[in-house]
Amino acid sequence: MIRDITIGQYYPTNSILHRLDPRVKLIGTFMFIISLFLFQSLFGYIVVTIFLVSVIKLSKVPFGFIVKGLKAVIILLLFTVFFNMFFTPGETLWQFGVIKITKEGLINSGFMAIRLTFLIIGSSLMTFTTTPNQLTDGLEKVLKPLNHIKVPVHEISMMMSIALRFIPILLEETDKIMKAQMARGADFESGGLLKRAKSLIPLLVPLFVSAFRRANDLAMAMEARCYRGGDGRTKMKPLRYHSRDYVAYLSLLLYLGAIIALNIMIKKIV
Amino acid sequence: MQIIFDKINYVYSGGTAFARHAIKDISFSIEKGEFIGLIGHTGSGKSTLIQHMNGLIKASSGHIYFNGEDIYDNSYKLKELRSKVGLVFQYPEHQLFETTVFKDVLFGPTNLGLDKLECELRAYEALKMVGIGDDLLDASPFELSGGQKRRVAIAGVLAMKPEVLILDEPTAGLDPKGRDDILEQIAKLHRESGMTIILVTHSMEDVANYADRLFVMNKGELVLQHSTKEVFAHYQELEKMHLAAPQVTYVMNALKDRGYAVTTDATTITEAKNEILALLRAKG
Amino acid sequence: MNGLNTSEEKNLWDIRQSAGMVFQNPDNQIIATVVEEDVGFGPENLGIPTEEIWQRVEKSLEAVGMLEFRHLSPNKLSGGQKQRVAIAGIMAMKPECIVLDEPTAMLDPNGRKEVIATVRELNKTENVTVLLITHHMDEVIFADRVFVMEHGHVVMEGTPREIFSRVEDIKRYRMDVPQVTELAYELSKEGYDIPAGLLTVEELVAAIDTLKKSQK
Repeated sequence: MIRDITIGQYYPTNSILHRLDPRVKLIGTFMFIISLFLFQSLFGYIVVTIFLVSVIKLSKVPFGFIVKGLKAVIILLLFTVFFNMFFTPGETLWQFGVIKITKEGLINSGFMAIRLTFLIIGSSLMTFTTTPNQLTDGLEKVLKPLNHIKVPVHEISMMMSIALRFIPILLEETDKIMKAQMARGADFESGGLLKRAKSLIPLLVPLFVSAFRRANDLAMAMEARCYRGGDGRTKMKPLRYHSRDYVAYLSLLLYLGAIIALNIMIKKIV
Repeated sequence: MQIIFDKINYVYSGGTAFARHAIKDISFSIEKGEFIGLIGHTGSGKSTLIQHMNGLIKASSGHIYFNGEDIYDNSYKLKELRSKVGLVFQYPEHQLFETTVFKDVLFGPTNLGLDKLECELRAYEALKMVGIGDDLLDASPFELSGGQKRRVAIAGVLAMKPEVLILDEPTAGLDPKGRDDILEQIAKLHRESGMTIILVTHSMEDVANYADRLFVMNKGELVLQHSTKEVFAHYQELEKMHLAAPQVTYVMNALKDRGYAVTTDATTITEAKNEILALLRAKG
Repeated sequence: MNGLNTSEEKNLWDIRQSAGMVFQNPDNQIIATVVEEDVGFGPENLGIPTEEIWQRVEKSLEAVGMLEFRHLSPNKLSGGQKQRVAIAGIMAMKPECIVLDEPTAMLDPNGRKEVIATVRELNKTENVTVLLITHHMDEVIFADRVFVMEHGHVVMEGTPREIFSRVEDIKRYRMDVPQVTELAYELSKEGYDIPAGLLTVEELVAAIDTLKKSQK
């Protein structure tokens, strides 16, 4: 079901990760993603896995919930795996016409799958433990320097936070429209690609109309509450670093240092 | 019997951890041509129940028979069921998508695979039934008023020529005039075509005027299924379920409490008026 | 509006602060993903200091009886609860007047009761002016004054009792009358001495009682 997509949804519980400053989590996620592409050795994988597992443990988000979020991107994952499997040159293991699987391809795709999975889990951990509002606040603060080159940082972060709030609502709406059209004999499941694409029109048109209506309503409601962009706004929950945030920064630096050190050392050995 | 529910249960498992019993052990039967009012507060399982009737949701256990056939038989065609049991969702105007009113109503019959002439005939008839005039056939559905949009959406289901028409809160959000118009259209459909009607609503006043029988749902269970008068006689129970009988029922009961010899089963203004007039005319 | 001319651009934000608006669709007016953050949205826009925002949020949530839900996602609330959050969001801006544009049109009877009770309470305890737009006639019987509009004109004006004593007129405008009011009107048409503009079950029953006793 569409509703089962959990990627990007806040998971309310009280963990140390939830209490961290969103800026730490944003920068941490960024560092984690970089670290994923820094190493080549098996050792590196072990370090990254240990790091990720401990962060998951700290977050108190159930593992099943995280895995459920992965379902949504499984196609992307499979696509990358297959692409790597078939198109990496090297020692041929199995061949059928032009399609061949190489040993390097197999290894590559396996590692790629792990990296991608880690990347998705890592970044969704951020959204699981940070409310969209905190996330936008953090993003706004982190990206503030870009304001000088005329990037509308506040507007972008506001847009993101609204998008996140309306995702569950629009998903539910999709479900409802789908059922209503099925009650009128619509068929979303059978037929060729073209027929299926066409069958989406009765779903997409009402969905867009509704999204525009909501956007219009929301804009009016925001203006009625005196919203006029970022200037002159105060914060209900202003961002302030606590000691736990400095500890988190320190651990992140240690982790990144370990990865880089491993990378240099192992290269030397090999 | 046109529709029979035999011990229907539906357990909703939205995730892994929390399975919820959405409806519990529901059994009833509906005769052809009946007008049923289905009431219950939000979350009582009404919407889940009606989605079972045309196979959009499959029960966790139990059987549903439509015209004597088990709809969960492997050979049973659900698509055919959906054309015979028309379901109009809440705010149906949100499902309009075509460029013209006429084309939108054509969507249903076209999906049934009928030939073009038949489809157009049905669409035209259906629009007539809900009182949409020829002048609006080529209008964009998005330019209509709220009440008109809703009627076009209902026509979209009627064009499939269902034997049963289920409407989920067809009057929600409409002003009194729009509400009366829609209810009148539905009552007319029922009178003239003998279609079975199942009306889901919160408004007791709405069902009191039209329904033969009332089904009352509470916490996933069908707690009452009687004639309208009998159900409203249970007005104190209804209140415990966060429902209420029409105001006139309260008037009659209050009069009785004061010791007047009145019957308390009036559910409409006319009935109450006649009862009170009889009381006032009686000597002493 | 408070002596400010609404057609002048420079007055716009002052007016929006002193006249808060609550809209029909509860989903489309809640901006934040946590109840308390949404209530804080208005004061944030006004540039209120952080400390005071917290006080205002707490006070407004308490006033609408939603304090215990402060950490929840709005998606977990019922329609009536969402509207109460929306009202709290307006109250946190300390308006002098709240305009509610059909706030109950999309709610079930319970939600409607909740919202109307909340609004009446605020009107009494916080002393805010309330302008309620609705077509549910049972909601207006609590009003001090009622305006009936038709085709862009005010066609009737008066206390609820005055308005509802003109049953024929209301019906002409295709509006509802509470069932008791209509029943009372029908009885008085039959020549019985029942006062016009009865609004509640108790009033009607009392009127019939008096009538019956006078017959003896």
